[in-house]
Amino acid sequence: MLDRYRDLIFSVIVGLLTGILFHYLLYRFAIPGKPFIYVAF
Amino acid sequence: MRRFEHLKPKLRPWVFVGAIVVGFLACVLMGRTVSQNPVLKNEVRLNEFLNPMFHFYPTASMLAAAALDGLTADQTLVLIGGNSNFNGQGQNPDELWSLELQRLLGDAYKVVNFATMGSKSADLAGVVFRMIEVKHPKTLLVLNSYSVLQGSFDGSDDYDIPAPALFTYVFWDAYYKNLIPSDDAFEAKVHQLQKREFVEHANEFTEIHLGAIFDGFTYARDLWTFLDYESFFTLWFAPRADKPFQARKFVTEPKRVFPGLEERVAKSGMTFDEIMQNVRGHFQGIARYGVNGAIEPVPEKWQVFRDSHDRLFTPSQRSRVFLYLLWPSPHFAKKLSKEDKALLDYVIPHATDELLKQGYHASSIGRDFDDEDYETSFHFMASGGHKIARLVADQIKAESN
Repeated sequence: MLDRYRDLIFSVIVGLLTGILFHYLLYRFAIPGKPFIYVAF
Repeated sequence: MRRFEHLKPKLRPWVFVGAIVVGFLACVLMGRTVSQNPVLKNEVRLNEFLNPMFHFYPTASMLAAAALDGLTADQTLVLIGGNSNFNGQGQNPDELWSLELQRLLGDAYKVVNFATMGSKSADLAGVVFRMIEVKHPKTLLVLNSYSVLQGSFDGSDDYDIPAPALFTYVFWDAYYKNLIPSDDAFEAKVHQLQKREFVEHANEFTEIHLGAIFDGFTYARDLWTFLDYESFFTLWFAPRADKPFQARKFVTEPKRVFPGLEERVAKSGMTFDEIMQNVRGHFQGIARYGVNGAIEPVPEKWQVFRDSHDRLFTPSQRSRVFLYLLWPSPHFAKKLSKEDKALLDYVIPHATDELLKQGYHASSIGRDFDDEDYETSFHFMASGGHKIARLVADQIKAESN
C-alpha cells in the first residue's frame, strides 16, 4: 500500500515543505533592515 | 547500493508544484487568521526582546489586537507611545509607570504601553490609534516627544535626508492591508508621501514599500512573528545561546538593581561629555542667540517642527492626543552654561505653546523633578515614573470631565 503511494506521498511532503519555506523566505525579505543572509549568520 | 535504487522515491512534478501552492496558501490563510490573535496581550511593555533590535518585528494587526483585547465599549483606551522614556527604561516591569497610570485611572480605562526603544512619537501606538479611533472613539494617545522634530507621519526621518526609521514599516504594514480607515484628505496625504518616498527616494524606501505590499497578500510577517512569539524563534538568538530558538514569550526581562546616581552614570556607557552633548542636542539647533543677544527661533527649523506636527494628526485626532516634552535631569541641566540653560528654558515652553496652538494637549514633564527621578540625563526611575503617571492621570481625568 505504502509502496504504491510512495512517490505521491514524497511529492506532497516535499512540495508542502517547499511552499512553507517559500512563505518564510518572503517573510525574511519583507521585514526591513539587514539582508536575510546577514541576519541568518 | 544499486539494488536499492528501485526504493528511491521519484518526484511527480505536477503533484510537487500543486503541493507547493497548497503549502504556501495554507501559510497565507494561517497568517490572516493569527493576525487577529491578541498574542501580546500579557506584555506590560514592548521590552528589548520584542523589538527589531533583536529581530522581532511586531505587526500592526498584532498590536491592535492586543490593545482591543477585553476592551468594552464603555472603557477609554489609553495608548502610550514614544521612545525608551515612556517605555519605562529605568524601571523594572513591576514598577512601571504605565501600571501606576492604570491603577490611578481605574477600570473605566484600559492602559496599553507601546512605547519602545528607537520608536518615534507616533509610529507604533500612533498607527494603532489611527486604526482604532474611528471604531472606538474613546481612544486617547499619550506620547513622549524626545526630540522636538517628528519626521513624517509614517515615522520616517524627513529632515535633511529622508530615510526609513526603525518602525516606519508598521505604518505601511497597516496601510497596505487597509487597516487604517481613510478619507480623501488622508489618501491625498498618503499618496504625496508615497510619491516622495517610493519615487523620489526609491533607494532608501523601496524595501519598506515592496515588503509591505507583498505582505498585504502573503501575511508572512503576521504568521512568522506569531510563531516567533508563541512557538519557536526562527533565527539564532545570540544573547540566549543556551536556548537560541526559544519563543519570545518565554524570554523575560532580567530584574535590574539600580545603584546610586554616580554609579548609574558610570555604568551608562557614556562619558560625562557625551551625556552633556545628549542634553544639549535636545534643544540646540531650533533656537539661537540673535544679533541683539536675544534668543529667537531658527526659522527654517521651527517651520519643520510646526509642519511635522501639523502633518502628524488631523485637528479632530489632536484633541485626543496628549503630547509631553521632556526636561532633562536637573543634575545635568544645572551643569549647562548660562547661555545653554537660557536656550533650554526658551525651547521647551515655546515648543509646548506651539503644540497647544495646533490643538494637541501638550505639556512638559520633569522641570520640578529631582535628580533621583532620572536614571541618568533622561529615562525615569520608578519615582519619576510615578510622578509622570500622576500628572498624566490628572490631565486625562480633567479632559474627560
